Amino acid sequence: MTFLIIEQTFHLDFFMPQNLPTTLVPELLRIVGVEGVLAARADLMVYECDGFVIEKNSPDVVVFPTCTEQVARVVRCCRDAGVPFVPRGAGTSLAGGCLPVGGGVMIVLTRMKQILEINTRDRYAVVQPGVVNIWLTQALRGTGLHYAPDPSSQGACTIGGNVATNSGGPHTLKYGVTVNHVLGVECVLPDGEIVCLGGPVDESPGCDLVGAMVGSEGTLAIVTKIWVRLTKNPQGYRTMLGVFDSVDDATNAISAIIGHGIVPAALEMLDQGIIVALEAAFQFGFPLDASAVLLIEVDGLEVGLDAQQQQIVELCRQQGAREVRLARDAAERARLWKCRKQAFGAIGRLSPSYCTQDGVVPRTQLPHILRRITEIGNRHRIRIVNVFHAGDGNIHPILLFDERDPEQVQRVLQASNEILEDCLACGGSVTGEHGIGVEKIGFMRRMFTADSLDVMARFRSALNPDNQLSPGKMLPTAAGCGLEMKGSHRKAAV
Amino acid sequence: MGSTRLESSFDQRPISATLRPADARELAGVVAGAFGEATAVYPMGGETSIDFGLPASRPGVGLSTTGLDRVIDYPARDMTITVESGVRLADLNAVLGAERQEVPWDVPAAALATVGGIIATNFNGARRYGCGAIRDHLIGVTAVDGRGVTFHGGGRVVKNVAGYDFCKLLCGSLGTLAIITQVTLKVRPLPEKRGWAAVYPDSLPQAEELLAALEHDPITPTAIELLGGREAMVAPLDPDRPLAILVMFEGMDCEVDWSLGRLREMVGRLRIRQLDAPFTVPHDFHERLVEFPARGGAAIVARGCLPPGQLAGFLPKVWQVDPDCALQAHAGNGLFMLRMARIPSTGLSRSFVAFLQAEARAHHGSLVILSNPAGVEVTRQSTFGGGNAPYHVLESVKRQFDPANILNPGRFLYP
Repeated sequence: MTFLIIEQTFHLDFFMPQNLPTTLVPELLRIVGVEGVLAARADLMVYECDGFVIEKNSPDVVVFPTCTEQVARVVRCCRDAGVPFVPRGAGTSLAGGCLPVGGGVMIVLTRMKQILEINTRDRYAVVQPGVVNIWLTQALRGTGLHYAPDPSSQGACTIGGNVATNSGGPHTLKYGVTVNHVLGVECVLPDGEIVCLGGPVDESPGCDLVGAMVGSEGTLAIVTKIWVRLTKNPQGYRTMLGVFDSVDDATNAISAIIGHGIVPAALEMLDQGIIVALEAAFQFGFPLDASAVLLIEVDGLEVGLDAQQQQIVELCRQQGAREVRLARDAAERARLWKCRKQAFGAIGRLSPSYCTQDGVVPRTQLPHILRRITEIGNRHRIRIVNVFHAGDGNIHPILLFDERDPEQVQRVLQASNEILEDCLACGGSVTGEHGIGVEKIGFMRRMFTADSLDVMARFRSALNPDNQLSPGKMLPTAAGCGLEMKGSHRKAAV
Repeated sequence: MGSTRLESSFDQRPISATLRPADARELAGVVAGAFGEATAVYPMGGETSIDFGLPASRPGVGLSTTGLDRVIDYPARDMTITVESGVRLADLNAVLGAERQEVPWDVPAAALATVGGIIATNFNGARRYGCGAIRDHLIGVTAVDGRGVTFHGGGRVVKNVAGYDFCKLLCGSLGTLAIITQVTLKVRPLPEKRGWAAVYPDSLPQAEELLAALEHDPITPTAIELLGGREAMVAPLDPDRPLAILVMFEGMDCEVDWSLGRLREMVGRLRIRQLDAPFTVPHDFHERLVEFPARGGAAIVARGCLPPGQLAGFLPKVWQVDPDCALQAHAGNGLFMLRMARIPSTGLSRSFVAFLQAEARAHHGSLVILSNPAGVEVTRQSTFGGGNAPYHVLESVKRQFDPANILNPGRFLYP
């Protein structure tokens, strides 16, 4: 019956991508309806990359299921047809996590966007994966609770995507990253079975599969429902802007604050390049001549905040801060955070393209790594600006370039690699919150032994034995770096 | 302080010898040899939770991690520490204490319990509420799988999403997937001040009223404990009271003092009886409370988890089964420990499996038996409570990590 409806509405050829078995698309149409399938080349271009624009590949077809059962049926179809499939949220990820390597079927979860339950007594919520991060906190207004993980893209990114990449954000310094706030997941395994792991309780007997599922970048299962922990709103905030005449002084102040045993709610650094772009975009009043500013926030009980603020101001001054400004009220605090979270948007004023890195170093190594970033940028003639989660040691150097110039792209890639190599040399990581995706597969052999990678591959095969779900992600293959594209693919100007 | 471990019913007869490797390489060699010969290996830390699970059923060797007791790296200003898994919790906190830092884990017999054992059993305590779970402090892990292969996950920095998160996977894995040999932990500064307050609700509904109110007030307790039954009332609590709620605050002096005052007002509004004087309990109270599951004399020690709001409805059922059962609940998290005075007259299959465990499952919770010294009706069902987990998925993971099923065979969830 469904098939007849399709014939009445569309020419079937329109839905017949070349690389797929002929029965697959009609089957997908039966499951999600004509309004839930895209297969025209122009439509598919939107889905050929995420925020990592250097590698691109188009899926053969995109489907938009609206419920778990539809996801499971789509997955079973793909399994039976032997076609790769990959889940996608809002596509805001930055390492190619939802790049459809090898084409196949992309399962976009943005139409599963219901907040299913909010339980304020037990402080949890149940959401579908397509719920945009900020929607949950908006829905919690008036309850005294919020959802703590707050990636800068929280106005667009989905909680399902946050689960896949174990997203962080400025306030994760005190409150933890996504995995610290996920109690359970319902997911569809690569064979189409629907299973629940965890739920509205803090513990279940046995190994922590929920924790392992978070950050698995869509390579183990497709998450279709999430139980998240809600966090009490703090009674008060003190938000400060420390202004420094040198990057070294600013990074030394970060080390001093952390080393002093103070754990702010957030501790962010912005260097001059990004300050100029932000000021042009938002006219907040950032000091354009400052080499760096620190955005520092403490929160908690009002009774203790003034003392904590005073201690931080004192430490900043000891490290050479020119001044430490205080946000006067909630509105000013909100504006400051708006500037910080939209920093990436302001970069459009600086260059046509940019590439953000996501290294992590021990916090005491920040002064060293910032100096190295400057050196590397100078040597490769690439302008680099910095805005990052300083309190976690999670750097985000932003390399500015023009993707239409292949030679520039090569220099950006080389500079990025050198920065990440330096993070590893400091005892750090090549990714703190963006994930490995396809971008950093080449680094996995540098971070992990062959035995560790083998155990990771074995773990993946326990849930995803045929590697049909999200192939070419996170783990290098025996022969290559993992970027084994099948069919057409393209790179940005490379 | 009572005994130093849960009362033992663990039958060690199938274990021919217990080996104590001096380092991780030697440990991996033992496991690789056992894999080649398909010999069972029973990992042991401080043996403080050795009874948890089913009896060892297959001949094999014990493998102690207590020889792996070195601090590898302690960059105090980065607030992380890397240690071998056989380091005892008390020793770890002594090292950290010198820098005014700590790992805020509350487990009994901290002088014996090893870091690896605590992670493998996922033994969360009172301060989980305010400080996070064990999994939240673990940022790097090295372990040996059932083939003797050494692998690692995570790293030494506080934020890291490279690769699968084996730190989480191995939390609660009970030595069935791999033997943890080294970990990196996120530590925290010691608070300036700690303060406990104790109050006596007259009834479970009144207790629930306060517990719910605490969730909606700006105060930020580090722990919220609900105690029930005479045996749970650690001095100076009044053993004749049916219930007590204990609230712990940590932070700056002014924060703790303000919070205690705020709690006093809240309790007054709810007309709940307060501990007379002093309102704040003694300094070593916390330590004595933590030993609750390990005190001797219980016929059954069980541990469960429910959504916190379901506790008050569940506990009458517990006391229906054993009116003398002592309870300690980490009420903010819904975790609870039960010490039953006697084996229920209706037997475990009816009182536990068909009743209490079924009730817990109905609320998405769980109830497992940690200690059953008399070995009464020890079955996989009574010990682990069935549960809602997809066991075929767990088994699939187990096969990849331990293909010859030599790590703790038969003792835990897997057939």
